[in-house]
Amino acid sequence: MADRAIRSLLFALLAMMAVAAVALAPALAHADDLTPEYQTLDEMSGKRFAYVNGSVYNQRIQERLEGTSEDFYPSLSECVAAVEAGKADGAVQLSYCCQLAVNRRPGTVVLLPEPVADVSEGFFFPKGSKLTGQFNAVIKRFSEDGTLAKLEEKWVAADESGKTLPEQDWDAPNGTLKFATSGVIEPFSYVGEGGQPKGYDVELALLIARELGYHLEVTTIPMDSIFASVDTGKADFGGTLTNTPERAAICDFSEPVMPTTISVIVKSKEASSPTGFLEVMSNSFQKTFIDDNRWMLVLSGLGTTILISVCAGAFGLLLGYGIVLARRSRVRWVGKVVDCFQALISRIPIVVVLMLLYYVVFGSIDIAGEIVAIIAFTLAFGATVGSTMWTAIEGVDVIQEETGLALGYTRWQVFSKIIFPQARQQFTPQLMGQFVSLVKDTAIVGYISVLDLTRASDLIRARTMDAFFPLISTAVIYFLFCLLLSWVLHRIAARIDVTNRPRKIEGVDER
Amino acid sequence: MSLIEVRHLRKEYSGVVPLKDVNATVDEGEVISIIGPSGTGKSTFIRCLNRLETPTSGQILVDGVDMCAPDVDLPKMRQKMGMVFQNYALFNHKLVVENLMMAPMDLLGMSKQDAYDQALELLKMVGLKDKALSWPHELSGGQRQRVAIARGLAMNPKILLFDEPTSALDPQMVSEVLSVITSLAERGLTMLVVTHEMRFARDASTRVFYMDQGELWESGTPRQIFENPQRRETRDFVFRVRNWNWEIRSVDPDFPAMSSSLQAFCARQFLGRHLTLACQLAIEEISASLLVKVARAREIADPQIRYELSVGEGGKEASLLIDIDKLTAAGVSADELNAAADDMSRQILENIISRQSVDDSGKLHLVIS
Repeated sequence: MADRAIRSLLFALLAMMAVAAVALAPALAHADDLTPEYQTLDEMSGKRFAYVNGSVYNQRIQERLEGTSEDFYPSLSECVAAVEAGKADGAVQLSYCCQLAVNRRPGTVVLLPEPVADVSEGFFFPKGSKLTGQFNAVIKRFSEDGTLAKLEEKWVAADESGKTLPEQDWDAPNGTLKFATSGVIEPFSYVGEGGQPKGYDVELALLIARELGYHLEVTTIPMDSIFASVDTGKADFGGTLTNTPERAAICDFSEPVMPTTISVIVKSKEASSPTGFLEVMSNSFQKTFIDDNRWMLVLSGLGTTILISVCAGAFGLLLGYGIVLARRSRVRWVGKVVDCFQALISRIPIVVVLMLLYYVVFGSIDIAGEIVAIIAFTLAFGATVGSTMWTAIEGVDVIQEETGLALGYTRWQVFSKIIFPQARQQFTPQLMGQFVSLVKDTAIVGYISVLDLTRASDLIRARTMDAFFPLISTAVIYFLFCLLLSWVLHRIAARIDVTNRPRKIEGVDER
Repeated sequence: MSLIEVRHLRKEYSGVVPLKDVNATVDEGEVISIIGPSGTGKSTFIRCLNRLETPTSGQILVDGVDMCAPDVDLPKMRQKMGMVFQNYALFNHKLVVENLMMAPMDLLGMSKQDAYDQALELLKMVGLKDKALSWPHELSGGQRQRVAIARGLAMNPKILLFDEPTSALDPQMVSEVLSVITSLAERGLTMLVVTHEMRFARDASTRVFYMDQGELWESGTPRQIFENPQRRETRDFVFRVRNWNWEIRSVDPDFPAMSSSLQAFCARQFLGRHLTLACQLAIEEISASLLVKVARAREIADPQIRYELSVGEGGKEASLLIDIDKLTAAGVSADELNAAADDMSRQILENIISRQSVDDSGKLHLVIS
């Protein structure tokens, strides 16, 4: 077992290094004297553009160009990766963000010289919220007294060291506001050291909250879920996003917080000659793990993944056992209810179940995403465990049950002493495999703003603009963790397998 | 008072009535064999006794307790009556000895040491003491069934029910199980045995129930049932199970099927190896070298050769009736048959056939020994 594991481990690592080498190759060009593939936006009609989920800049591009096609990605780093890989011809985002991205991917991508359009972004609130007016008043004042200009200067600066948030040391007579932001749009909203959200939007929200006598609780939520979280009341306000008529019908928008522009990132013509693989690797490693103590983010993400998996695993086992008991119940409707539950859960994608629970079922309740995730995966894993156990129990010969009854055991004793122990021999190995699958399945909890291992790598990618290294590292971490887990589970399985026990009766005087 | 009393027992499923109206009594110490054609309610009857099946109507009294009363303590009552199934059903997650220790410890509160000592004692009785620390799957079918019997005994029951205990076993394992059951009969345990082993029914039981079509048609001592059955159905059944019949309807007969059917019959009748071989040899030689050969020569497509083999008392010799009406009608004479045999087969047949004659209806009658 150990031998095989080590061999497969080595093989997998080699394969991953090979993938990394290929993936990083484009990033190895020299940074000087770059020529963009396109000089002006007008050359790009009919091309493919990459946008960040939830952005509406595609409308602005389509106003100017004919026949463009569009793809949406979770964050700008994926958009940039798409441009580098030739999957898209241009990536569109706020100009400040684009500038940062280009600086972080020297030699492969460049900005079109001219910004494409003016846009303005605002905070948004549930329909009819009294916060809208209060925010607008403060924003107006900040605009007039130069606070906004100072903020802009601070957050777009090249120097990262000054970009810190004020402590929330003020009194908050009005309580706490919940602010949902994407965390992937540097410099407006991104995560710093230890996964703390920061950026222009975040500080502005803080300053406004102080003016209004609130404290602020900031959560990072994937772009495409921010709207839902405000609409369902998970957050008091979100931002910032572009105001469109469609959005304005659902939420109230504040005044624009910063007039700005959008730009297009295109590939540079020089983006190919590879040099210094190791240097690039160590550079990527530095950016992904060391800068900003990002390894802590990864570690806490892994911790969350483990927490959710282990809790859902344990509760799911209990639920599965409960399902089995309910199915054996003599009260017929109990079994029917359980059947319906299993039919339902096993036919809905778990990611949909997760979001339904978070935004609909627990929509109006203040509940941590981790708990919702544990509930969702408990339901899913419980349904799986239930049917696995049930199949194994059905597989135990019915004569076993009759034999037990004929000996004088009660129905319950027959189940617990005779049927279940024999079924356990069958289903234990299957459950082990299903548990490892569960660990991998939890990678979707980012949808409800839970910061697990996958989401941590999303956030890091949004900072480094390097899609490949964080992804490969994440793959390696999942792989190693699942490998370790399988090994531990196998040890446990071997220990509880009764056929492995010594042929000996404990506690009797053997004659 | 009888130990078991069954009155007007009826069991029906939708569309099927395995038990119509069964009345029976069993006294303490009796060994009852329940015989009859397959699918006629024998197993249902015995499963109703310990309420693995719930009767549709009727009354079952065990030791004076009404087994169908709503407040009956079934687990308690079942402890008094062990049951051995066709498929042994040992608990596969427990060692052999633990299979015998479980129920007494869980249900009778026996100490581990006592349960262990008793288990070893019982295993010794069924000849499997050295398998105490084996896993059930390591045993042969016959050994497993003996463990299952010992497990039933571990609860020290008054009654032991057997539901076709040897039907799932290879022929050579049947006798080891039957000899254990027979030895229990000698110890005075009350037993009801659903069985197809007529020798066992005849030699080991005190009484025989003949069941057919959901009813108990006839009960009596083995001698009454097997030698002087009162009812036609019983007579037919007893005759059938004591005789082997086969008909050859083609000049390319299915000899393997015939041979395996014959072997199964001989095993059931406990014919010795020698006599089994002799019967097989005789029938194969007569078929292949004489009758089928002649039929083929005469181009009779369907020769309709019928064999009927029965075993005499004591199992020392067997008598074989051969019906060759169709061949005779086609003009085959005894001389022609004699001529068809070559020296080899003639010599073989002379060795195993001790007497031969032709009866009034023209059937050949051979005695094989």
